[in-house]
Amino acid sequence: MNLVLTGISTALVVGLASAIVNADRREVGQVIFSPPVVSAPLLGLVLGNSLIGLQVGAVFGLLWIGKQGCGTRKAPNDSLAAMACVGASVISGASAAAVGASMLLSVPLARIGGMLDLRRERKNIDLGEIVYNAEGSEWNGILAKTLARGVFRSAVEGLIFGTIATLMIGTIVSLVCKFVPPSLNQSFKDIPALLPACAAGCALAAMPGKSPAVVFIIAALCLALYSFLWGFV
Amino acid sequence: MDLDLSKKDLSKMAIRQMLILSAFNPREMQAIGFAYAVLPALKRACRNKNKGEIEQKRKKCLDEAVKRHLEPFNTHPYLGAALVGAVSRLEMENRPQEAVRLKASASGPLGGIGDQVIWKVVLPAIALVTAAMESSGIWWSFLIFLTAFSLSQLGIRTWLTVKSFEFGKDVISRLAGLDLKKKRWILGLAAGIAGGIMAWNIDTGMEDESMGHVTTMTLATASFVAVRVGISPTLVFYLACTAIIAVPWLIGSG
Repeated sequence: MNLVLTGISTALVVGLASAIVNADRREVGQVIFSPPVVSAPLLGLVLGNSLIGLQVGAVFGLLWIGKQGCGTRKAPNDSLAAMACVGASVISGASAAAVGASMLLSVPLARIGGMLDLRRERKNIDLGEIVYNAEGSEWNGILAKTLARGVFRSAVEGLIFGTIATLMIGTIVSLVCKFVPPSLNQSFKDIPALLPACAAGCALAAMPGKSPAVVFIIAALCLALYSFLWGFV
Repeated sequence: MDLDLSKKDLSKMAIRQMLILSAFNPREMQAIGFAYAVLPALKRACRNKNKGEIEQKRKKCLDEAVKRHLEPFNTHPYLGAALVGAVSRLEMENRPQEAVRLKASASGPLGGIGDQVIWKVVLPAIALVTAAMESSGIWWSFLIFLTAFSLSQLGIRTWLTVKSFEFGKDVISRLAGLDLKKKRWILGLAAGIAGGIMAWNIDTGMEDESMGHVTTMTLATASFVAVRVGISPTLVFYLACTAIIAVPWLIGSG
């Protein structure tokens, strides 16, 4: 009973954080707290496990970096996915295996979040109609109210999505960690440690030209060689 | 003609500019947010233009001015701050048609520059360094992103609003003249720092540290190649997870 209550309260905290992050992503300020490299570690700190936040932030912050807000191309909502992943990891025991399994299940959430963003934008057409039909009105009030409604929609979507996704993925991951064979469970532990490299590769591929990737590998090789030799000495 | 906006009005415009996407929709796009941002200047312009006139005439002037800026409009949300300032100045100079033309002609180039410089260079560069530090377990690394990107963008947008009001269209022509190719070195620098941090500090949990380095670099290179040949990052993520889970499991059961 106590575990269930803790899970629900954690999910609510994640929901609140998701509301702020979702509104920040587009509606207010645009990209202040919302990138996973910021929001996930902050949520991790709030939930009392900064390491999970760092691991999730490093992966989700880079994976779709090349698809960020260019024109009409719609980006996956990496912020909501990262929030749910941190929350689910904490609910399901905060072990390395739980973080790995949560990451596996949270990635599709970014796509769903992106679709919700699109749906909300289409729904916002009614806000345009309200403003267009206003005649001789108090413009300050009507424009402010319209924009506030846009922010409210986004925050409510974040709240609901964050809470439900955290509870669902947290429950599934708890069951997975309990019932899968220990050897497979062991393999989940490697996911959070190794995936930042995969995400870094994806981010480098999204950058123009080949030179960033070449510089990345040369720097990594030099430092690895240096640490190897240093270890020898 | 009185072209002075009070500091309060300028601050209002700078703050309101942050809400430019709040009611974004496929039809008007950023128009509602833009109209709200320039409203203090529109009010002042109508007051100046209709000094001594009856209230109804002022209201009509404001109605027309707001509707002028409710036409579909889209640009980069950060660089749009320059348009907020410049358009406000033109409106206060009683050159409304020029203001509309400026919006129409500058929104595309500013959007393109914003995408190429901010979304493609500055954001990925800072995120890459921050993520590399996070993967090394440095808990305060998110502060790097917060100060280098988030707070800087807020500062730059405020500065752009104020300066473009002061100098008008000049700020926009300077922005449009930015040499994009020269900004690419930022990516190289960030990639070098991130690669170094990852190789130096990353804890793969493997007993053999050099094996950990080899695995990390192999994963990064394979993911880079996969995304470059056209595989989506999501699929690359799942392929990497499958490899991470399956390889040790197969070796263990073998």
